[in-house]
Amino acid sequence: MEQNIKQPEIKDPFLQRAIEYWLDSANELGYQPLFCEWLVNNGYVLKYSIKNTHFEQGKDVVAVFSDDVPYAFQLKGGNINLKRWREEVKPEIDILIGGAIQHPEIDKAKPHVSYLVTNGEIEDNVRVEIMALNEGVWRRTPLHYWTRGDLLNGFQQMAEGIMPKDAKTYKKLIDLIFTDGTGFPDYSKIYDFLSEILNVESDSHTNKEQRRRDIAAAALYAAMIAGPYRVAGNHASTVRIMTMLLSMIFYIVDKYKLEDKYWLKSYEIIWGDVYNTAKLLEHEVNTDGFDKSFTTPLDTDLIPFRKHSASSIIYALKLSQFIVNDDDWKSLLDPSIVPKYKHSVAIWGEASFLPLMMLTLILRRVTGGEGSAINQMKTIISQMLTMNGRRSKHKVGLVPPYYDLDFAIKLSYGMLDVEFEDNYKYHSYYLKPVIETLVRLNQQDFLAEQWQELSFMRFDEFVPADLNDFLLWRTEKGENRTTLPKKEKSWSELIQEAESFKGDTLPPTLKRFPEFIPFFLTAFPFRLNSDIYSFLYKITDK
Amino acid sequence: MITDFPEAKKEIRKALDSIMRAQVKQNAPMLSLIGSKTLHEGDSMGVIYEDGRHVVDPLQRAESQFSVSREEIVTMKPEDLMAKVSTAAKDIAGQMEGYLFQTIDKSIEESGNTIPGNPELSPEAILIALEKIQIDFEDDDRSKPVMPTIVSGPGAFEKLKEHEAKATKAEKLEFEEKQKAIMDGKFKEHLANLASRKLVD
Repeated sequence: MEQNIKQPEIKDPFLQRAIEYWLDSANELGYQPLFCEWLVNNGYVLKYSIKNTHFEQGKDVVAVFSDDVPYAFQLKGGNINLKRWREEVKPEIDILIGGAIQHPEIDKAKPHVSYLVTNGEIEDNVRVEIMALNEGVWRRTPLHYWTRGDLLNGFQQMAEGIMPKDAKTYKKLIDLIFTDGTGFPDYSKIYDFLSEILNVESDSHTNKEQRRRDIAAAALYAAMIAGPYRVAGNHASTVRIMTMLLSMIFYIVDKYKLEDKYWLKSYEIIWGDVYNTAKLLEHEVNTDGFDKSFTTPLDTDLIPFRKHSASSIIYALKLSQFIVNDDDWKSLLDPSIVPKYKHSVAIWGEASFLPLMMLTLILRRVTGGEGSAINQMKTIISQMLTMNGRRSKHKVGLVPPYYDLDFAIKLSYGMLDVEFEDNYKYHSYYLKPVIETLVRLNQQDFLAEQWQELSFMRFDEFVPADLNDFLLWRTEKGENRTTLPKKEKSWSELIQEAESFKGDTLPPTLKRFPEFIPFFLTAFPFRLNSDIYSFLYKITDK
Repeated sequence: MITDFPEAKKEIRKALDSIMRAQVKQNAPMLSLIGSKTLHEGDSMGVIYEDGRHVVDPLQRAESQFSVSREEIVTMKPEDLMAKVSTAAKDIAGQMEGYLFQTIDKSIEESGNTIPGNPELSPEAILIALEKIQIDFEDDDRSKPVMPTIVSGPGAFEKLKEHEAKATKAEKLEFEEKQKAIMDGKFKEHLANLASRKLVD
């Protein structure tokens, strides 16, 4: 019954060191998604993985192997000495072994195989004690364990044959995993690296089984890249990195028509990671508020931006929960929590409106919340016109959603390498979906008041030549489209436009997993357009 | 190899890039008047006009190159390098400005907004041109017209200066009065344009 993790066939010393470095700095939350991915890749059928919830039953991961035997895993981080074993680990192992697996698809009467997994070592005296227990009270269902070396072998297996192709790519990986995890990730570099591993652009890579292996390898590398951020407790950046990986997987699925068996389990694991990491962030803010994070006088001017970075992930989480009818979204209305989010959205560019737009989709459905939803949309219009409208005297205006918070901060502090000469007067990417939302919310009078100024604006969007490219960070083929609104517009025309959404411009897998969209937009804010926002509006209308 | 100074070179390159950009702007005066915005992806730009027309144009490439021989490198002075950068900048500016004029010419011809007979640049021609174009007024204030910029060849500009020098006081006054009348009309048009921008049932 005991499973041995085989040695990888090809040992790449550089990669081995890189994985070692990552594994040694990760805690159990950090390696759990990858451990699940490894299980799936080795024939286990994953049933659940719940390390970061408060409901454990002593079993962090439960899976069934091909012989239909249930396996339960307790995950730990670091070395286990006798003190830790007796005080912390053994009581949990007693539950792991003694308690039946609570899962509808697993027969409670069937004994399960129990594993203790750690990315550290188990000291000899602990091993002796485990051996004694296995020969004594645990003899019917003994405890097995995997330690650092086993995990290393397993994770290396996942990368077999899918290693960085050359020294240059290795350097990219090394730069990414040795970065300061407290900041904003370099998405462009992460995207470049992962797209090489996933062979995103390669049509010739037709073997679907190979695609499955690519996905597993990309999960390994993404986990390594996210490592420094996870160690720093920088949940927002971790979420964004894993979201980027998922959108690339969706791209491959749609473009190369991968059946579920090649990727769905990986999706579930990575999605679980995105979701649970966002929940950790929410828990942190709901418990301590934002202020605990501000520890130096240097924070002063950056506080609004830091708050924004976190709240944008939490609002994405809430919308995601709202979409799938998970009652957790209601924490948004909890009077003890609401004040903690006061002034958590800063206006620094068009992408900064995203949290408000997500919140609007929820609030409009809450009794008494429609007024707030409408006010938020009106605020966006007013800010857009002030900063980018024809009367604006601002040097740059609100930067388009292609620019992130990091850029906005550098711009406002004059820290950019080259002078930024762009000017976005008259231009907006988000105005069209916001106007359409106000039309749906029947705000004819307000729009009539604003139309004179709105009619001067140009509505921008990027339309990729290939529908699937919507999921990519950047694509070479496509139209930068500007729509000029009519000077004289009829209300009925606006209604018609707001209702004309067909959804055929959105990639099918994105529509299949709508709960992922809020996170996707947080990482790819330049993909927010009328269609995707209308789609969200429609599915949150039910 | 002899020890190099890559970081210093990076800074020099940055400075050269800045100079190149400034020179392109200087040599493409028309282009430098237009607000720029960066495109991050795609290979075309499209506009959907008020009447529903959808016009898509591929992005145009503007490029230039210069070469420096190994022998030159050893004796080259900073001003030599600057001269080469400057030539390349002029080349790029010429391509960009040329494409811009082509596009403008095409749309002016399509809209029939040309001055018949192609007269030389003169006060009269300026008044005719003013009549033909739309003029914005900052803060919707009559005293703040956003006046267009004349882009001309050096010869045409000299002739305009000659016209000005030769003009009598009365002719100048007449020009100013005519221009004021046109601008009054333009302001009325501006207000009418504003009034026409509305949401109807």
